[in-house]
Amino acid sequence: MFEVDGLQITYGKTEVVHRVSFGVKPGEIIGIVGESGSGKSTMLKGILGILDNPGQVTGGQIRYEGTDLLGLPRNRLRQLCGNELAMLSQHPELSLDPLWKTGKTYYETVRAHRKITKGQAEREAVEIMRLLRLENPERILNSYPFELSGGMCQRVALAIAIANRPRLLLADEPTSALDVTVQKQVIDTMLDLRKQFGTAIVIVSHNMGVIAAMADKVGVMKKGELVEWGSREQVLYHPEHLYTQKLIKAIPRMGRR
Amino acid sequence: MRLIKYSINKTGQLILIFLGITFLSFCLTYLAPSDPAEIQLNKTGVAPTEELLEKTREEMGLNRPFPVQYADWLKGILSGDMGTSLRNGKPVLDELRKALPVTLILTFFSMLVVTVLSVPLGIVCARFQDSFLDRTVRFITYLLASLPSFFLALLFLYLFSVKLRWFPVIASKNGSKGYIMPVLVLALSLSSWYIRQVRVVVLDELAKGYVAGERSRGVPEWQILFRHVLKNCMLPLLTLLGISFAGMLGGTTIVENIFSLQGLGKMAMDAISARDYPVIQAYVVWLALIFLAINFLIDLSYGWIDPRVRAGQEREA
Repeated sequence: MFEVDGLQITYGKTEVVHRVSFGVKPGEIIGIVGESGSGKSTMLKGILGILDNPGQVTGGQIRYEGTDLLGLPRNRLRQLCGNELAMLSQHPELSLDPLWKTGKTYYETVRAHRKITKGQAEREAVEIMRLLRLENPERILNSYPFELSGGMCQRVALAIAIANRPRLLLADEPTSALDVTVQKQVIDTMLDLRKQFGTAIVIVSHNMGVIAAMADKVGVMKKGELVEWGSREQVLYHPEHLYTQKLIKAIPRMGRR
Repeated sequence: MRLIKYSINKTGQLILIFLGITFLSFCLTYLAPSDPAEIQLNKTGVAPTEELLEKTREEMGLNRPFPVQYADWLKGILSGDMGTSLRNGKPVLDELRKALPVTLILTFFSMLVVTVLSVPLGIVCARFQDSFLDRTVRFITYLLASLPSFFLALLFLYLFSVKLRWFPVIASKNGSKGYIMPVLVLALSLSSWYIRQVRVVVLDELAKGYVAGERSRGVPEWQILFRHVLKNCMLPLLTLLGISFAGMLGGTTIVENIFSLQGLGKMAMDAISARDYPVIQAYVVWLALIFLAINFLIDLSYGWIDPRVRAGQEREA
């Protein structure tokens, strides 16, 4: 359904992502792990065309249902973003406009892709938030991002991300800024999401624990290169690359089976 | 309701600040070395003997204790009596009334041109950073910003009045048409700074997470620019525009002088060079009022635009 093929990204004159390739099947959860600065987040941003200046995709293809996103006109790509492909960022409170109530942002996102009345959008929002086990959805929709806690904000951002039932969710360190207890909620919510709607997820994290809890397939990135790729069992229990072994050793053992 | 309470608190603060400013300005003129009584006598052509000076001081109320003089003056101000000009014996209020419309017109239209010119241009330059347009605009604003406004004014006079004869040299002789050149000079020299300022503010804003967020949600680009970025930029821009607005309402001395407009800036200059204390004091009161009023309005607009500020104001109230 979705393939990244030989993706190259440069910042100014330095290449930070070198020829990365992988594929995602419908409903599959892919975990990409690697330390900070290994180019994981950059890769996700590159996929949706939202790299910060002066980042640029300089090579490769990103195919969704066979069409290369990089060759799409701006407006076609916009129609896919937030609709069939959605993104969840590391700092949800920063990815929402601070001057807008979350309900308004929700409505805007839905309205960007289909004709819908405010009332209908609100009913949908409440429904999705119930699904994400957010209490008191009406109050949340009537709040500004700064009035919500980090975990709450992340789940609101998730609700907005899946408002149009995307087929693929790109999650960039979705739990790194959260408390451990809230991390678990967000992870469970994403797993629910796949169960309910069959959403495929690419989750990027430096936290091997999060990846181990979610992913079907795992990729390991180091210095902009995908050094290891395989099923979760394969990568976690029979890692080939030295770097992967190091990462796995670094997982805290506390409370593990 | 809370907003009203906040406004009342704020107004209390403003009154205190206002009293402070007027008191200081009154002190300054009190401490100044020249003697208003002497100026008064000199003007009438009477040789100032010590006896005569003493008598004049008494007539002018200058030998009363300082706090009494201040209280008296303040009472006058509050009832609309700002005293009489030492220079021509006319009520200061009339002088103000004469100069104020000129300054108001200059300020209002200049700021209008500045806003209409800089905000869209700044936004477009930021959005298309380093494009041909951006670089051209930056070059022109750089050029304009490095020309002092008096030079620009003289250049305009030479070009449009002397060479092309579109406008008269003396602006005040020509009704509303006379304002076109001064407004343009003021607006252009200020815009050259504002366009760059808007561009920088918008660039900062475009780098923020919510812009990437909106893009990843598939919100159309124009909607991001005009519904999100513009609103977020309002806070810093309103502050800047407010300060410029207040500054201009205080008079634009150089431009007024060059175009022979009898605005507040010219009035203040003339009053200062003639040691016309009542006029100077009235001018300081005006400046204080304008700055306080505009700062108050900016504060209110902050709360109106930004829910985070509003929450803070509500806590304060």
